Order: sequence, then C-alpha cells, then structure tokens
Amino acid sequence: MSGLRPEGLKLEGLTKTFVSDDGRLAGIKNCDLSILPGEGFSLLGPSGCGKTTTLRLIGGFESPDSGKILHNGQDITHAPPQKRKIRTVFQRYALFPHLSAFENIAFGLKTQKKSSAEISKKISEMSEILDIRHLLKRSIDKLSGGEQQRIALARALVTSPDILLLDEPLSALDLKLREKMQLELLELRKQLGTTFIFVTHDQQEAMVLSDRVGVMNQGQLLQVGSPEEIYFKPKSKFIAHFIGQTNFISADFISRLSGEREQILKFDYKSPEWMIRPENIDMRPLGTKIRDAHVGIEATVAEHAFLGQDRLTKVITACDKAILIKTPSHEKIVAAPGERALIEWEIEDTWCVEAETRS
Amino acid sequence: MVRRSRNALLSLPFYLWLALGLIGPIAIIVVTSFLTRSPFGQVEWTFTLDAYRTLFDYLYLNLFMRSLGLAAGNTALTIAIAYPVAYYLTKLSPTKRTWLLTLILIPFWTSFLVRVLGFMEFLRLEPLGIKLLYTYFGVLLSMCCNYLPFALLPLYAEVSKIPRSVIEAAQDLGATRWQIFTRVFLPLSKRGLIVASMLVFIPSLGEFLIPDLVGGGRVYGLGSFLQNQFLSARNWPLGSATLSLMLIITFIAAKFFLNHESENEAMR
Repeated sequence: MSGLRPEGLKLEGLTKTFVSDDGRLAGIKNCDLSILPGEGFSLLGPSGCGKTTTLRLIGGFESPDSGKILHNGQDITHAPPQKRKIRTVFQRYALFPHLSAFENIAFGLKTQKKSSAEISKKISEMSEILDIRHLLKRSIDKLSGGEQQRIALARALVTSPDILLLDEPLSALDLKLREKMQLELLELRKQLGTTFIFVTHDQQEAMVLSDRVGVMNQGQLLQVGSPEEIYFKPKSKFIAHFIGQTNFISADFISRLSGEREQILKFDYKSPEWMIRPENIDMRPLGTKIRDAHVGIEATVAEHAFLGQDRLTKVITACDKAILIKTPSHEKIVAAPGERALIEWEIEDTWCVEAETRS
Repeated sequence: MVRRSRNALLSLPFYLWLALGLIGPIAIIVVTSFLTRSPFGQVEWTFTLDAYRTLFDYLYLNLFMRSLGLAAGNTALTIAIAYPVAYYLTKLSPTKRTWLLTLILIPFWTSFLVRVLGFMEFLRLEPLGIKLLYTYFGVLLSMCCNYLPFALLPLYAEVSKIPRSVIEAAQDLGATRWQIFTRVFLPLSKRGLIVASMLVFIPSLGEFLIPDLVGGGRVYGLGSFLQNQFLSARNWPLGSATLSLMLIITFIAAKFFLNHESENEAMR
C-alpha cells in the first residue's frame, strides 16, 4: 500500500502473547498492517481472535513482545497512552461516573492545560457536531446508552486526535439506534478527517463503517481488503464462512453442473473448495435454457423463509446437496416447496476459497 | 393491617434491646452527669453543673484534644497504610487475594487483649531500632495494627468497584499518574474513605486499653481518664459528664460522615 509514505499508522511484525483468564494462550502473532490517514478501518473476527489486543497495543495499554508501531513515521511502540495522538472510545464507554457530561468531555482538554475559554469553545463546537448540547449538564448515570456513547465520542474527539480507536462501539445499543449511529459515525469521520479504527465481531457493522476490513482469527491477520473484496473474494474458507452466508461447493459437485462445456472447464478441478453467495444464484422455471456465461443445475425447493427485504430458499440438488438462495422478496416465487426449478449463476461469481491452489 | 402489626411484632425485640441496652444506660449517664459527688464517692440527688464546669477546665479540655489528636492520628495512619494495600489487593489474582485477606483477618480470631499483649512484646523488641513500648508512637502503631481491617475492608470494597477501563480512559486522555489519582481514583473511592474513617475514628476516640497498656500510663487518653473516674477516683458525675460530651462529639462525627454518604447516594 503506502509503505514508503511515512503518514498514517504502521504495525510491523507486532507480536503479543499472554495467557487469558480461562488459561488459553491468546494474543497476536507477527501482525503487519498499514492504515492510511483518514481511513476507516475495521478489525473483524470472532471473540478471542486478538483484535482487542491489537487495539490495546495501538492505544498503548499493552506493550508488545516484539515488533513495532509507527505513527507518522515515529516509533511509538513503547510510548505510554498519554504520549500518543490516539484516543480510545472504550467498549462500555468508561465515562467518569463522578463527573458531569461536560466535565467528562473537558477532562482531556484540562490535562492539556487549555484555558477555560478554549475548553468552553471546543466543547461547544463538538456538542454542535454530536448534537449533545442539551446533555452537557447531566450526570452520567442520567444518560441512556446512546447518549453515553455520544459523550464518550465527544470526550475523545474534542482533543483532536489523529486516530480514534473504537472498541465494539455499537454492541451495547439496540438495533435501531445501532443503524442510526453507523451512519452518524461515517459522517463524523468524513467531517473531521480523523482515522477511525474499529474493533468488531459484527461483519455487517465492519462492512458499513469502513473503507477496509482486516479479518483476524487465532491471533493472525488473515486478509485485509475492501468490504467487497472480503465478502466476494475471501482468501480462505474461514473468512468466507465468517462473513455472510455462503454455499461451499466441491469440484465433484461442479462436474455435475450443466452449461456450456468450456464454461465449466474454466473451473480448476484441482482446487477442492469453491463458494457461491446465495444472492448470486438465480432460480428459474424448469426447462429454461441456461444463459450464456452461466452454469446451473436442477433442484427441488425444500422451503422458503421470508426475511423482509429478501427471501431465503433452500433447495436440494439431485446429489443431495443443499444450496441456499437469496432473492429479493418482491420477486415472484418460481417454485413452491416440493417443486423443481433450475438454479443458475454467473460463472464469474464462483470463487475459489483455497487461494494458494488457485490457478 | 395484619401484616403491619406482624412486622411491628418482629421488630419488637430490637426496640426492647435498644431501650434496655442503649437508651437506658445513656439516660442514666446523662442524669448522673448533673448530680453531685458525695465526699465518700457516692452520688447524691442534688442538681449541679459542677461536673461540666470541671470538664471545661483547661486541664480536661487538653485531655479531650489529646484524645481527638490520637484518634485523628490513628485514622490518618491506618488509612495511609490501608489505602495502598486495598489498591494492591485489586491487582492480585483471586486466589492470592483470598489468601492475603485471610492472613489479614486471622489475628482477629484471637482475643483483643491477647493481641495487644502480643503487640507489646513485639514493641519491646524495638523493631525500628528506637524505643517504642510506653511511647506515644508505640500506642499509635498498636492502635493502627488493631484498626487496620476496619479500614481495609471498606476501602477494598470501594476500590475494587473502580473499573480498569476508567483508569485507562484517564491515561488515554493524557492524565499523569498524579492527575489520575486526584481526579479519578480519589473521588471514586471517596465513599470507602469516609466509611473507613468513621469505622476507625469513632471507636479509637474512646480507646483506653491500648493507651493504658502499650502507653504504660504515659499516654493518658479519655478512655483511661474515664476508667479512673468510675473505678479509682469514684467521681461518677465527672465521668458521666465526660461520657456525655464524648457522645455528642461522636454523634456529630457520625452525622458528618453519614450526611456525606447520603449526599453521595443522592448524586448517584
């Protein structure tokens, strides 16, 4: 990426291992990553994958066993949190319970020894942006979860950091508020130009909030890429499985597909594992001709599930393979349960999940 | 109605106990303090303010101040030791913490007198290389040793409730160690400090056994004075007047601490 430019955050061979509370070895191994200024980046992975450790290393709350952290070309590997131009929004917000909302936001400005006039001015600007003017006088326990989050955001952002770290920022909010906050966080980042680094286990949240996503598992950064890349071109079966719903198909199954011979030959039969996303599959009435650049197979509909926006259909092929298909729910149902239909998809949408054996 | 009368019945033993064990003796003390001492050490039923007049004499006021000083000194020393230990306890693994807490509490399963006598033997060894037994400082050390758990437990309970992330948030926002302590840690453990101070200060105000034994009569506090008035000097009115004044001081102190407490409660 921008390996030569000194701007932004760079992790080099970062390693940190420790024994977790339940006695397992946890942490991260040899993590390399560059994050650009102003970028929205998400570390995504199941719990215990090392994403929070990575965030704590960037924030300065942990010291790595080996490796380096560079911020705008400067080595900050062992700098304490106080000395970094990086702020954190903690998972449960970690607001100071004995201070009012205003005093919470003023905390970081006071440690910077700003004058009270400047503090008032900055807080006033920030409350305008985050729409929290009416909350400033309240004590923390009189605030709802969403309001507390805004105060936590204001407290971190009012000190104008280069990078904001957000640890599962939306996990404590209910669904409606979460969706609203996702859009607000996007706007906020664009408006302030601050780098946002998220840690989340929610794949949808990661994709909405960030320009790039890094998928982690067992202490390793498996793939870094745009949400589209991660979703449609996952580097491994784990990533494909972790993000969204997927149909995994074997080379053996591919040999049973119909379509033009040369299209099927496009598949490299030596690669054992392939995938196709449910929304990339079309269902058409039996007897229809398979379109150009498509492959397909006949199948029996097992059941339909109405998901609101979409409809999820499970079909069973002749060789007893279950396949999930997602179609917009306003489209007509092609075949009722028990009836047969043709399922087909564009050959380009099939993706080999074993990247190393891919031709 | 039935429930209310049953509840009243359930609390009856408590009120009886309160009346017999607390209100009664206090009433006797207050009444006695206004009576006259006969030349032979008995109490005569003649109203007088003599006891109080004697009490507000320079000599006795000085005694009060010295006892207040000892109690305050003990409170300060005990908390200065217990506070860091309470913080240290929160950093330990649960197993180690249980062990340490048990070690701290084990001495309290033995008799108070045995503990004091044992501590005197310890002081006799002059562990700091200076004379401690029969000195003011020795008394202070002994009292501190005895009152430590009363400060440690409420402090630990409060300090352990401070989330690590709140301390980290302060670090993140650029606070120095001192700022973290004064602006976050101290205000968040204030309740524990108040309860600990109350539990140490109030009983140490009337402490007489430790000053008497460890001080060897050289550290003369209110406790020893009281004991003398009732047992040796047989001036019950003066003793009662002293007690009444102490009750008032204790009451004011308790009220002060508890007000603070309920204020905090209201803030939360």
